[in-house]
Amino acid sequence: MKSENDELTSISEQAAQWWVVFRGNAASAADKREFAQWVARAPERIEAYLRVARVHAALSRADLQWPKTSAAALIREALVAATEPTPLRVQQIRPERAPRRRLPALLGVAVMASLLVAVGLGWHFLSLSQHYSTGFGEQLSVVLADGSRVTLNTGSRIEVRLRADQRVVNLLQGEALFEVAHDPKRPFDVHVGETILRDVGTRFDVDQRPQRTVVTVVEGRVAIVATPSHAGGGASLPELSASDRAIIDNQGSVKLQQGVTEAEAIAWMRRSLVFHRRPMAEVAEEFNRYNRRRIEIRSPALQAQEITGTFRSDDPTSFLAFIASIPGVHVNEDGSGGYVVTLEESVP
Amino acid sequence: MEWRQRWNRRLFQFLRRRVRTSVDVQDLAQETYLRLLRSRDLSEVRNPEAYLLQVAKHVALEWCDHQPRPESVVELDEEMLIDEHLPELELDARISEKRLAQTLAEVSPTMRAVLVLRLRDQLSYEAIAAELGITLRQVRRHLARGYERLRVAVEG
Repeated sequence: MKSENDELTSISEQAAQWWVVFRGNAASAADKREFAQWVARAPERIEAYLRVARVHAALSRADLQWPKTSAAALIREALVAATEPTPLRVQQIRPERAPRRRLPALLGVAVMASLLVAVGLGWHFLSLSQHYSTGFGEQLSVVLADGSRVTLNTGSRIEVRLRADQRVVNLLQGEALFEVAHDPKRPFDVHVGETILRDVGTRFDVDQRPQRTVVTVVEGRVAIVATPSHAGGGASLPELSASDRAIIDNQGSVKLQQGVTEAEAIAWMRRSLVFHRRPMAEVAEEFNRYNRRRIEIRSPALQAQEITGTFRSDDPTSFLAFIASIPGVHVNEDGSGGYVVTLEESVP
Repeated sequence: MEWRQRWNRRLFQFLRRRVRTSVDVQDLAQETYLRLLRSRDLSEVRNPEAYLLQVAKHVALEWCDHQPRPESVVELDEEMLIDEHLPELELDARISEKRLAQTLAEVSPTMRAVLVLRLRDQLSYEAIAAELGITLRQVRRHLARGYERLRVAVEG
């Protein structure tokens, strides 16, 4: 306790620290002695301590309505948040071990419960390929045997094949952030349909959508080796460096965007959605990736309306509240769990 | 039937007025401090923390009986009165659902998880540390800072 109190903390913070020590059932005789000395020094300290006691009483009331978020969801959010800026605690999957047996030892029970649904582990001994997937609203981070880390966003699926001369990840569906362990002898390729991205030790995000694939480089360089129109590759395909974004459509044409911030690129890992002048239809589409209660923007004028803002991906109500505050905009429930957003035609 | 209802309401109002009286924390701390000075040295008590809270509770109860202080106002629910629950330190301790949700939304995901797992789900510090992959010391730190945030929310 001493070391925790030695810092420059206010009396009320110190009081809270003591309170926590004594609620932990592990207060030592030394703690008790120290507390007696600490508290007896001035009535302000007793006051601070009684205030903590009062807060505790307020929080312990049986009739207090706590947010309903499940323990598993809270743990998952905390673990995801821990990826930035310190590394996420993830399961390490080594090919020589059976993953089904490794998992329970490495994860807390609650995290386990949520991940069991999320992880579809396929184990094909011949090809040594592994499959990982996430369900609706789920995220998953895995460390591959080569030390690279892949974080899957909601509704995503990948296949991983690690060979002596090559590392290949097939993004079958959705979005993933790749943090590639440097290994010049084994290129790390990400296949997205007919598009192939080659990486040499970096961090980049790949987001596969029905009409297009978006590649955003956070760190290092990524080469686009093949696209639907350039199957054999070629000099004409651009190489991306940090803060570059390439939007590759299904015909294979590549559009470049520069100056994409890291926060924007991997905001989804913190369950936040960052929009800078994006049309409302796209914003609604983003929310619909994460939430079962779909938002439908009915009016074309509203669909095109640009929006700038940061929202929590699992909290569409804040977005709905935001647009409902625009004069003439109505948000209604559609009767089957979704929301319909309309614009009053007769707005002057 | 009607007279019973009226009588109940009268009784409720009477009780409500009586227990509406709350204790000012600053006064309570002063008095507790003085009593501790007059009685024994806290460091000679086996559990000074429990002793301190006991003395404070005792003072608060005395004051509720004899020294109504109408300036502090608390809302009490009927249930407490029916149960003859003695208003002690928690007399004026309330946090609105909205405030609580707001404060939890503002803190880091880790602190939020620690606070809710501890205070709502009543997990042990050890269990929380294991779930979140952090040390016991970090659990205590998040909790202490969380209390501080929630104190601000309670006291408004």
